[in-house]
Amino acid sequence: QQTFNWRMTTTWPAGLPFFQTGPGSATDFARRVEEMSGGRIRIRVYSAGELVPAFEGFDAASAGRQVQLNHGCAYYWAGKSFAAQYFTTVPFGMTFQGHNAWMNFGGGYELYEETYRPFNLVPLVVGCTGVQPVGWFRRPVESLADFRGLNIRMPGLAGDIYNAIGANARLLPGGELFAALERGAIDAAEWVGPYSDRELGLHRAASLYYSSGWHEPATSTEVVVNRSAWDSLPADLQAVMRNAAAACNITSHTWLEAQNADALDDLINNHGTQFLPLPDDVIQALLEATKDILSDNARRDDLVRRVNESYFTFKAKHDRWNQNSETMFQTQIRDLGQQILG
Amino acid sequence: MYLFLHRLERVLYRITSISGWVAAVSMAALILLVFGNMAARYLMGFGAVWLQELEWYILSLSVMTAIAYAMRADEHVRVDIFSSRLNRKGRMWLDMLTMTLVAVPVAILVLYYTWPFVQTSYVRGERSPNAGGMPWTFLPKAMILLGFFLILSESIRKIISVGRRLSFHYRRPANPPRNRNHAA
Amino acid sequence: MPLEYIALMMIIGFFVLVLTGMPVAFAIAAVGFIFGFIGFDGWLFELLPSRIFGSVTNYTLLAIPLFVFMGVMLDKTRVAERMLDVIGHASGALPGGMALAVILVGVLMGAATGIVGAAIVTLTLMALPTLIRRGYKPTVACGTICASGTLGQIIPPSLVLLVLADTMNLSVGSLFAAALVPGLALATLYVLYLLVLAWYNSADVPALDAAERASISKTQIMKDLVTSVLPPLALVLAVLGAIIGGVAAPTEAASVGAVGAVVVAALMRRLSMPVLNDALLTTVRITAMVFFVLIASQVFALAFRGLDGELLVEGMLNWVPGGPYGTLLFMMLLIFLLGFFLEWIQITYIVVPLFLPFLAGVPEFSMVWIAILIAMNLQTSFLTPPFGWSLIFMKGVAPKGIKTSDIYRGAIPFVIIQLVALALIIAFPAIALWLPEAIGW
Ligand code: NA
Ligand code: NA
Repeated sequence: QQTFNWRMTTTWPAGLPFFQTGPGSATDFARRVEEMSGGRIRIRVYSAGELVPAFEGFDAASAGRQVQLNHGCAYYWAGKSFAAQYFTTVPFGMTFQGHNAWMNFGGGYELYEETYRPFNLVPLVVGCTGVQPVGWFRRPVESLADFRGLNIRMPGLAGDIYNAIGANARLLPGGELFAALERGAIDAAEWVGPYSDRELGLHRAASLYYSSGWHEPATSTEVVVNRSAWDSLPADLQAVMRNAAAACNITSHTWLEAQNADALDDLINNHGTQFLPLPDDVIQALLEATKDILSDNARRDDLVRRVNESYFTFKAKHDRWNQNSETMFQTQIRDLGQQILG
Repeated sequence: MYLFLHRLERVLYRITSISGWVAAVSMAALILLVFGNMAARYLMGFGAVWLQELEWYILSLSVMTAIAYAMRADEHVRVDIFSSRLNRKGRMWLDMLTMTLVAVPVAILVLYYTWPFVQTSYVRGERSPNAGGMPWTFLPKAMILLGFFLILSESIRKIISVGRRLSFHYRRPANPPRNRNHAA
Repeated sequence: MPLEYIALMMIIGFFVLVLTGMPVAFAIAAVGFIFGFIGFDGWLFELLPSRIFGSVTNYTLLAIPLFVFMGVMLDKTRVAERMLDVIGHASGALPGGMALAVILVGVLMGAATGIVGAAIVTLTLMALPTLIRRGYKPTVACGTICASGTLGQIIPPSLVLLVLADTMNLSVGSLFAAALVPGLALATLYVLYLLVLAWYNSADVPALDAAERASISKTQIMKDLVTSVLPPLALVLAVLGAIIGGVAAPTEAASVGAVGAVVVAALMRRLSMPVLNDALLTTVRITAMVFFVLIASQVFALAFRGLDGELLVEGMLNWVPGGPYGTLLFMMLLIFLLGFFLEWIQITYIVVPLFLPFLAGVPEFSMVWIAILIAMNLQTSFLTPPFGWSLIFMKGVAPKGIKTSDIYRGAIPFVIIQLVALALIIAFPAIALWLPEAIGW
């Protein structure tokens, strides 16, 4: 029987629990694939910089001769194809359930595949952080005016949206994030969520934790597989890969949900962190900026237009169902239930 | 042939000079850009993602054009514990061998591996993943090509120059003519 | 043959090639390519451009040319010369006073720049003839100058710390804060050594004679202090304060330092087009040198990965007893030994990343502490004969009467002092970690 010895680069520095080492992470995916395939697929995982710098793994897997897979987030490749943004998460988009429903059964995955076809890559959804908070702020933001000139560490699309409402999106290496926030070189920063942010020590740098994250409602992680490598797999091993990915997706999400619940209590009770909502006028302005930027890009590129349409058509439908199921449950039913059941 | 080599050497010398000039000018631009970006943000609350990213573009230009120039100035990290004992001729041979057997092949290999890397980026129209960031990611990538092309050109210049001096050294008659000053 | 053995041969091949005296960048790239093609047909090198691209577009490393320019520019203002004169005369009556002045100037130059070469050359040209003329023992004079000129590597801002921050994914500010106390402590140990020397053997380090002391008045000294030492000192303190205080990101503060150095030069009437031109070209050459080694190291690093070199390191570390502390001490010993042959750029780019994975997850180790240990250890590599950079720089500009053996012998006490300092920081991590913790990094 043929065995496959593959290399997987990642966009993560060594040691991040959610992305790199914990349940449902990159190394967990590699381990599951090896176990489920009875050792016929062996994947060696490389942290960012070990083989290639953090954001070069995509091209490496695309070439596919040295590196067959890359673990990361699709929105890192928005500079290669703007449509990739949608498969990680969409500002003001859908949360875990809706996003995954769209990906699996709403036409999302087919578009995902189409987006990566020119890059000779097959995508697999392998994880989800769930809703991310807005981020850590050093001073309160009570109105839109407070965002004028606010220095915020925010990469990607959300950074541009913040710029559109008058803030300054800053690019900073991960190592400088804590220092810059703590010292006031930036006024606000976002990372992942209570658990991961606490690992980074952001709660020691700022005490106001704004939520809930309009910008990343369901950040998904991906493994991209070189298409030739993928095609060389027999059907049973392709099934192994898909099932390991699906398992990691749910494992990582549920694991982080549990960790975040713990971390939230710890932050509030032991570290004086305050959770706050964003003011309505800010959300309004962010929404308008988002709409402009998304429709601008959709006008410019046919693929983006189709992805955008598919996403928001599905979202409209799913929102109606969600409104009458999840949303209602999480508000009326849950709140009344808490009064009696605790 | 000799005339051709002589002209080639002079052309290559000019190329390296120009690259040093580009490196210095872009270095000045880099200093002003980083300072300007910071000042704009602190004083006017203004900052643009593409201006931050432009810093890297210029850094890559400055660094990659600087190497060939530094090579000519012989600004190298090197361990000369043994080579310092060589005489002039020995050192010329060391330079000759380093350039022909090491510098030229290394430069060609890096160019060979970098070409498709830049081409892919260009063909795909790659731009910054940050919205509002710089377009043309192939440009800083192409700086690697530029840099190693300049290294190659400087290496060839050095080969010609050392070769000329070496051949001069060996062709020199056994009894060199007497010192001209003395004769005059 | 297992790939790891080829990796081992590659390391040996590197040493051989480096010893021929060819530029290190070419040697390192050459062995990488040669052994990569022998071991794995070179296929991994297709990843090379992305690694080079990552190096020349790196935000942390962007600070390197900025700090270099600041240092070069301040050097052009000849502030070190004035300082040496002023402080030397101020401490004239004390045996060893001139040597103490050299150390003090070394500290100040160290804070102004991270460029060892410039500091050594300046100090050697200005102070060595004077020291010899005043009857200092040549070994003591050479050792003091080398050691003082090298202080810039550990006293922030420093290129070593910048590169370490990048390779270890740490904040530049916290490394700068952590290096400050160890750097000053090292300078203090130098001072103590010279005082002890002056106490037991004042003939080796005579005081200034009265006539020379009388030649400059107290008011002139004060005037010189204010006009020529204060402005650059203020700039340096502002830049360091901004970084350690966290007001600005290190790269931004470095740009302020670079622009500020031009302003200071203008204020001191040292600014002219040729000076600016020269400073830019020097900056470009030093930056090119650092980045070229970094770029070439990518070839070596890829080849090392391709040859399963990490298994070699892993095997070596399994064989080292003592758990994480054993690993740490082993790495320290290796860096010290390599320091005899290599200089800091290669050690930081090649050796440190190999050991990082084995130290990163250890709960009792602070990575900042480890970075400072590495920086302090690298500091000695500058002074260890025969390849210590400081010694080589000094040899290049020392007056004819100075023998190489004077320089080598003079460096040895200072190497020992640095090892003592290293041992102290290992035993008392607080020396490094106190300041960053106190100011909340
Ligand atoms: Na995030
Ligand atoms: Na320094």
